[in-house]
Amino acid sequence: MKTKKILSLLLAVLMVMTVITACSTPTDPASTPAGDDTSSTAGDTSEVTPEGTGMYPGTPGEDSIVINLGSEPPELNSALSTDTISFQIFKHVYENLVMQDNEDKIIPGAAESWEISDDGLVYTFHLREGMLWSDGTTPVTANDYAFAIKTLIAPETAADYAYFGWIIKGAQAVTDGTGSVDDLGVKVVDDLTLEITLENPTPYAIDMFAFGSFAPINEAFYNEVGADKYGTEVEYILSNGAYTVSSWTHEDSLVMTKNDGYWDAANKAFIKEIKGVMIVDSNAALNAFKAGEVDMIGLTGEQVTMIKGEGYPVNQYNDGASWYLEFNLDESSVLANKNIRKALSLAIDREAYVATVEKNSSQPATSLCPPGLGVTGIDGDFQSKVGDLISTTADVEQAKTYLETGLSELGMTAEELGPQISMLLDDGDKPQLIGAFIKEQILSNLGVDISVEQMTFKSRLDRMSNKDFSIVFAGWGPDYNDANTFLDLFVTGNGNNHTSYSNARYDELISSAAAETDPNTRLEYFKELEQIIADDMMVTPIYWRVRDYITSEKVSGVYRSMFQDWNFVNATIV
Amino acid sequence: MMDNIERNKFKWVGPDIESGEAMARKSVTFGRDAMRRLFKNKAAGVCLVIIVLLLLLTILVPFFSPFTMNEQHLTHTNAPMGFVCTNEEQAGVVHLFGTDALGRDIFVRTWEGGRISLMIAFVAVFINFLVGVIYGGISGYMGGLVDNIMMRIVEVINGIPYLMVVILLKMVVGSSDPTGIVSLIVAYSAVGWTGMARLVRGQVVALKEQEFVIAAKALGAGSSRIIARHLLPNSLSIIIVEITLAIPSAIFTEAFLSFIGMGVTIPYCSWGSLANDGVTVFQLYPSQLWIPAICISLTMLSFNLFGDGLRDAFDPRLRR
Amino acid sequence: MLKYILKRVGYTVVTLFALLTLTFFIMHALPGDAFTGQKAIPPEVMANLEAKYGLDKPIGEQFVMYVGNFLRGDFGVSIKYNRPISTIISESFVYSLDLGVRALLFAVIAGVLLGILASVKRGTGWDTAAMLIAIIGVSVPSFIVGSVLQYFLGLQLFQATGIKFFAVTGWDAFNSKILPAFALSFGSLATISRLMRTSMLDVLGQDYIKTAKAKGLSNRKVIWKHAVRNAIMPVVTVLGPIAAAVLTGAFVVERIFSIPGLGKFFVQSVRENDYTMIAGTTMFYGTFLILANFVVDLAYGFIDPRVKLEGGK
Repeated sequence: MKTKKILSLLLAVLMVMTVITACSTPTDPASTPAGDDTSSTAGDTSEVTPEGTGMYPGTPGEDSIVINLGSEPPELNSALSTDTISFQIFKHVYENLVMQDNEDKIIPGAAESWEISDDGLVYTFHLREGMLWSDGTTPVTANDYAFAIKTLIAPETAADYAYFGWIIKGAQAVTDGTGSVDDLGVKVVDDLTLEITLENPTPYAIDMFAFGSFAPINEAFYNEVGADKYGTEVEYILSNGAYTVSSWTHEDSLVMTKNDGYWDAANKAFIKEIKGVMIVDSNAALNAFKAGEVDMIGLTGEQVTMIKGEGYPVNQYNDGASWYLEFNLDESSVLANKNIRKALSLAIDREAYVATVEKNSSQPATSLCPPGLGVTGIDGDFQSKVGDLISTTADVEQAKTYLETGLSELGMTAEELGPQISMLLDDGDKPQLIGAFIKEQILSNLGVDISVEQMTFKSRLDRMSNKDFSIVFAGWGPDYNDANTFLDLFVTGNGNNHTSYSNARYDELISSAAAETDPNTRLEYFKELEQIIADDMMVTPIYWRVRDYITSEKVSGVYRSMFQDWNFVNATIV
Repeated sequence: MMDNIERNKFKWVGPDIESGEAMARKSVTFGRDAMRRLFKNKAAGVCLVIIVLLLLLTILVPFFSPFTMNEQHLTHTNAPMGFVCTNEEQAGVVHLFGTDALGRDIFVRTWEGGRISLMIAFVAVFINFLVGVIYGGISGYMGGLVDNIMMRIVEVINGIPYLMVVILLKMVVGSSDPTGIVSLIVAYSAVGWTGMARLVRGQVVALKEQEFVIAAKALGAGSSRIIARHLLPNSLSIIIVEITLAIPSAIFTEAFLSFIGMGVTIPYCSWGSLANDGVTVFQLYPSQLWIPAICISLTMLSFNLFGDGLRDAFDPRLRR
Repeated sequence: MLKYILKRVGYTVVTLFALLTLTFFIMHALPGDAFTGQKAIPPEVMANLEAKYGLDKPIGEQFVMYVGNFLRGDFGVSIKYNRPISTIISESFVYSLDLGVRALLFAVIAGVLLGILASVKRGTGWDTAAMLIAIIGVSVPSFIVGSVLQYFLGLQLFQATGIKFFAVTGWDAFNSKILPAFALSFGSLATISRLMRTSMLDVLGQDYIKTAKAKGLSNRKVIWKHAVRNAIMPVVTVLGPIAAAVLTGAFVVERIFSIPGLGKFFVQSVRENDYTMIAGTTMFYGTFLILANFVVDLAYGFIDPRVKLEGGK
């Protein structure tokens, strides 16, 4: 009967606690409603320094922090990884030939210097002397970088991102099995010199070498561990960056510890230990943050409202993602009609969208490329040079005019049009909000009742590849810092162009831009491309995403940007 | 000792016919007796009233609400309970339960959601009942190899991942069912009937060896007569109880699917999807969680307690 | 008895094979492929990927290969994680088992006690109250119970007192294990307590209980020595399926409390077409379920209450 006593005791304790918490509720800032959220969101970015508010001191560790990764990195194999979490970890544990600074500008990494040939095709990298792998004995050599590229594009690796390597001469032929590695434009001149020859003079190639897929791989280690195991457990990882992965409990946590053997260890990695936990649920993440279990988390729109209501500073960064509606231009679809597409686009109030669905500092989109994204060789961001091509509020009058023209061309009524249009969305509650909002906007502004279908991600991709859709809500994030990363999406036959859009002028501009070396001429090409998108409306941009996050008061100097989701290499503990 | 009692202390009063009649109980049928006991059970009675009330609300509110479930009032999103609408056309009308993230009236959505939740539950359970009774009946009655094979099939079906069935059905049914309600019902029924089948089989196996069935057989009754006149009526009480308990389980399954994002979709909502939306914002707008949560809990409690009441009422051991 | 066991093992093998076959073909009918993510994969790369995982072969051949590997105990490698399925399942099952056993223990103890209380005080306020407690836990979807417990007892209690009674997330110290186990136990608690109540009522009406009372045994002794012992048998028999469900991973509770258990793989594998993982988790669960039922059937043969009753009296 001992268990019974313990049990009744436990129940009694629980009940008492429930009473205590119920009493404490009114004084707790967390539960005070922040009022109507619409008033406090838009543009409210006033910063309060976290120091001294004393609200969220963070985790107790003196030289360690805990951050929320959100989910498990599927694998830490730089040749295979495609997810942002893995790439964030690579930024900390691998030293690429070149790295990015706090403004995403290219700085020397493992290569202390490099030369580019006049035709823009040959890159010669000179590596630092005396760099070591994290085992403390193996030197880092040019071959480690050459091997990484060869592994990335090898057919037996079957890497999703093999095509990133295709900027290098002969690489595509290696992947599809028609060429040999011997003809590859990667040459190890000596231990400290690597020569890479490109297929085309790709202006943004140097940015790409900072990308995680080009992280070095030690050949001997890779072969010893075996391709199938490399990067799947902590003992199968060999790194050369500012941090090393020191423990990895799958689905639970991953710990990065400062690498004292790193070449710039004196000037980087001031935080000894970064523990990444994997909290999926957004409420759980916020609770864990408030309870001092985590030092940095991302926030949902409602959470932004709540934290701001508490007077605690919320940080933002523009993650460079642009979200848009993709229309199916296939002959079978009513959206092959340009006027209908324009009508739908003009019927959507993008400002209201951001205020009600996103509820954060995201911006209504006025063109495809987001602010902050540049054109190689041009100062400032591309978006400000393009200007506003799309209205951020609904223009109902004009939308109706387009609709009537479109309807008479199709020979149908608005009531007949509705059932012909189906919008595909992922499942989950956020897409449900998006779908409900857009459906209602089109219904109330145009009188067209479109249908919305939610399905799993894989089902949606399947429907899209079968052209069995009318509208899809999609987003794209930049791979490298050049407008080309967005604009080449809609080239005829691009695997990511689900719209079936094909325009000879568009294709011509993209290929001209690829061959052009003068930055100003390229800029003009890109501006024309944005104009074509605004005229043809095969896609209609909705918003540019800005992400919100909070850090506890102990963390300072964390850096988040478009190409580096989070970067703690220069961060410190207050 | 006996001698001490004198005879004149006792008096003959004769038979009391009137009160004798009163003490004897009327002969009642099993069903009537069950009903009587059911209504004597206060908890079950209250639950039945709640169920009827909830049903009435889900049926009637959408007809009489000044708001439709999908109209969005972007000027007052996430309004608190009792907020007075500021829209021109509906000025002065109260949002009893407030509004949600898109400014939709939660009161009308709650009852529209109840419609969907209850409809899914009732239809799915009805299908479960039909399939389960027939399958379990055959399996139990035939016995032997047939029974063995049929029960192994049930085991296999129980093992198949439910989500896979849902996704596949959504794909197959596809555009003709954009809201996903049909696929939810079919998917739930596709695996849900196995519980009923097991139960009915167990009941039939137990009953068919009983004396009255053997007697009926000996008198030359055919299989169909034995099943229809003896086995089914005697299993009915257990089946009815199982049905009342299967309804909450169907509502729960729908809520779980909503949680993993595979529940009812636009333009409909369900209690499950409302609760799931509520859970994400409950620290800020608690009422958006409590309202659907209370609806689900009330339904669950009512059906469960009502089911318990039914079980007690049908239980011959508890006949008094 | 041995013959019976052998027969059941034979059935189990056949059932599992049927399950494997059905799952294999259904999962390959799922929409989409296993590889495509947010960005399209060039056809050359796709061909290499399919070759790597043997998905380029005809489906029949794939099936034969898969069954062959399976018989050799090789579940294959997860397409998403590139780690062996057996490693992933065995690693995460440890957490799910730990959580499940705690939840189950709590559910059985509390459930049986509530059931006894309700039956002994049948028809009184105690009965109603006990059953209400039992049912109220199962009346709220677990994602609500989990989130609310976490917020009030995990966070608010900590903010109010400054003492960490319960951790919000994770699965390491003891204070992180109470809330999840509590949240997970509700469902089975209701089933067990209601079954216990019915069973107790049944037993309390039996002649031998009346005999025991007539012999002058105290009420307490009658209940604990005689009634409970016999009434608990049906509870044991339902523990099979309950254990299979609770121990093999609770998706919702594990997700809310950030516990690295097995539950997520059941959901995630299906959503992401991780074929090897779907087959692995399905077979794991199927085996567990069938074995649990098997064990219960065996136990039932041994401890049938009537058999014991006749022998004892």
